[in-house]
Amino acid sequence: MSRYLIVLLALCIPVVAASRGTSAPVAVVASRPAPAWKNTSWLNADQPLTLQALRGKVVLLNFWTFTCYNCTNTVPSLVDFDRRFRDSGLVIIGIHDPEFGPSGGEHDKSNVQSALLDHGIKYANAQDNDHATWNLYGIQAWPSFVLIDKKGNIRYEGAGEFHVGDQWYKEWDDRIRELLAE
Amino acid sequence: MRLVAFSLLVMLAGCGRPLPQPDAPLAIAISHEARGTVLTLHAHGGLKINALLPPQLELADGGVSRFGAPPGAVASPDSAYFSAPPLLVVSPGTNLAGALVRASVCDSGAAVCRVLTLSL
Repeated sequence: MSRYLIVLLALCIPVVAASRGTSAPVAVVASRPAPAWKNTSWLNADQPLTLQALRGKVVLLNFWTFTCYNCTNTVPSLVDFDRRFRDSGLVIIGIHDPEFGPSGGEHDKSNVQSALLDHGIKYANAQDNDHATWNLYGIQAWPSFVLIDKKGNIRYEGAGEFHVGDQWYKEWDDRIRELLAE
Repeated sequence: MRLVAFSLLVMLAGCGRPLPQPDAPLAIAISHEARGTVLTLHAHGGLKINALLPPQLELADGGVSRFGAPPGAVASPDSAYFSAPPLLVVSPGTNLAGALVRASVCDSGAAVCRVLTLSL
């Protein structure tokens, strides 16, 4: 009987939340003004970075968390972009969004700091423990990316792991170059 | 016959809400053993359960317990995901009413992660 009970319980338990849809790794979107984030806790930054202060720069937002393997697998590509394009006007900002509540350890700033060191991340990161910026941008999965042009408009969005030299790395590379050249 | 009647009773009593689709991404099997209630989390549809942030049981009273790999399970090659359904043994007498199970799952195709929750 217990076997049947197990099956029935499994069938009766509803999935109550959260289907986080996926999108193409790089998608062209209708250009629209990027909303201003208001995160107050930053790492690798002397002071909070604001969208307004970044006018004239190309900004790549990376929504991630250090417990997401797909996210950390993509970090080498972002570190590479930072190294290659920072002097040309690219600003990468990690938006660190925990998957779980505070008990998971992702909310702890020292843990985020350790992750930045472990992965060689030198670009700025904002803690988004309340998911305010995540919600502001309508993000649905880890890792996600938003590319903002020099005028402060969102031009490309996407989600999903990529690696140095692969197809999606090249796609993002092309889009960054395109916006830097404008 | 008793089994059929019991099954129908459970379905009528516990399945008032719409059933998940057959390809529901997560399901929990619950069994009762001498050591307590054993919760086993199963992922479907090409999803992998994140072992870097193990699923957790969140009780209505605020208590949190983490799932772990079953004894003897071999870690996935990168150790980032559970290679066998993770489980949690809940002590006898624990009140599971209103509890949630929260899991980070990753899609092997699209290479993204998301959070799913199940209510018990």
